[in-house]
Amino acid sequence: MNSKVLIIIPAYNESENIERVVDNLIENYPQYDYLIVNDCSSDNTEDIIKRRNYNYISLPVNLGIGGGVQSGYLYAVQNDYDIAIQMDGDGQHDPAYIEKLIAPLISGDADITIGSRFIDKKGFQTSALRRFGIKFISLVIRLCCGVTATDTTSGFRASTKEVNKFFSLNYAQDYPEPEAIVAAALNGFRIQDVAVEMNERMGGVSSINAKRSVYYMIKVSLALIICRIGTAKRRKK
Amino acid sequence: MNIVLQIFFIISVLFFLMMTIHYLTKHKLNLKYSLTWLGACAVMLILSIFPSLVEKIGLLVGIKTVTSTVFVFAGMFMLIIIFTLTMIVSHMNNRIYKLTQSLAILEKRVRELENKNDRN
Repeated sequence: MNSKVLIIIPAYNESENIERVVDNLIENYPQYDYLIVNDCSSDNTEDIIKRRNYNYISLPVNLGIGGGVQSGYLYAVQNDYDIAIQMDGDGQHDPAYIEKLIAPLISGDADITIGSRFIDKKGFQTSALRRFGIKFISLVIRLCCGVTATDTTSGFRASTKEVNKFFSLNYAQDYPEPEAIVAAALNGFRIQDVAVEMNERMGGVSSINAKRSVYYMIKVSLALIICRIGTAKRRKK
Repeated sequence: MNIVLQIFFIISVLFFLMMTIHYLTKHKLNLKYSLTWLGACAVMLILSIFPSLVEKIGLLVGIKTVTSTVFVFAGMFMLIIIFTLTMIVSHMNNRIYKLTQSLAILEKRVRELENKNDRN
């Protein structure tokens, strides 16, 4: 396997977790390159990654998860990586699954793979309310573009060079995970679910709290529908 | 219409027009974005000189009083201006994203080049 693989780790105020996550990568998975995208953290995340001499970029302005991950894709394109992987900086995602995640890309069976914790139903399964939300988004995605994605909000995903190029040019800004699936599917990329186990985050706070979840559902559904309408029009031309 | 009121309107519009042109010449306003305002000045000027036009336009769409006509059209005009502004803000937002991302990647390159130089 000679594919150049880049792991993009978006980090916003992850000082509690980032060292453990990255040290694990460096020690146990030296075959993959990694890039931390520090999204203008207000805690000492930047001091830590600077002191530890990690490979990182630091956004001068907070862009949110979408813009942060997108800069990772831009970096992957500029540095000619074959595969880019998104992995959270909070320890939720186990790099042991990366090999499984990139296998369909290398064999040419898919363009994007999404790590889903709901296939084998093992490991951390999140709260019932969130599972319901994820199922609902999953249904909207199936109606929009016929793609089956069970873990729609999963930020553990891998993509090929062509997809990275597409993402570096178009990527949703806030709550981008479901929208990225639809945008990629409508542009002809093949998407595949891969069973993984996730851990409960070890420290820090999730970006989606209870108050925002209603807003999240409305915004995501709307974004998906608009994305669908927009691409349908482009196709006609 | 009362002649005093008419003169007051004309002077106000002329003042607004001068203000727009002043900021245009000082490059504090982009010509692209000020065209709407210049157009609005022209329309307002014509309407203040020929106020009977307002009445006619109002009757054309079925509005009986002049004041209502003015409010309805002013409201519609505001809506267009504000919508245009939102579009401009979204466009700028996209540009800022691109700039921020390129800047961060360049900063990384500079940092690495500096480190390399220090070691040599």
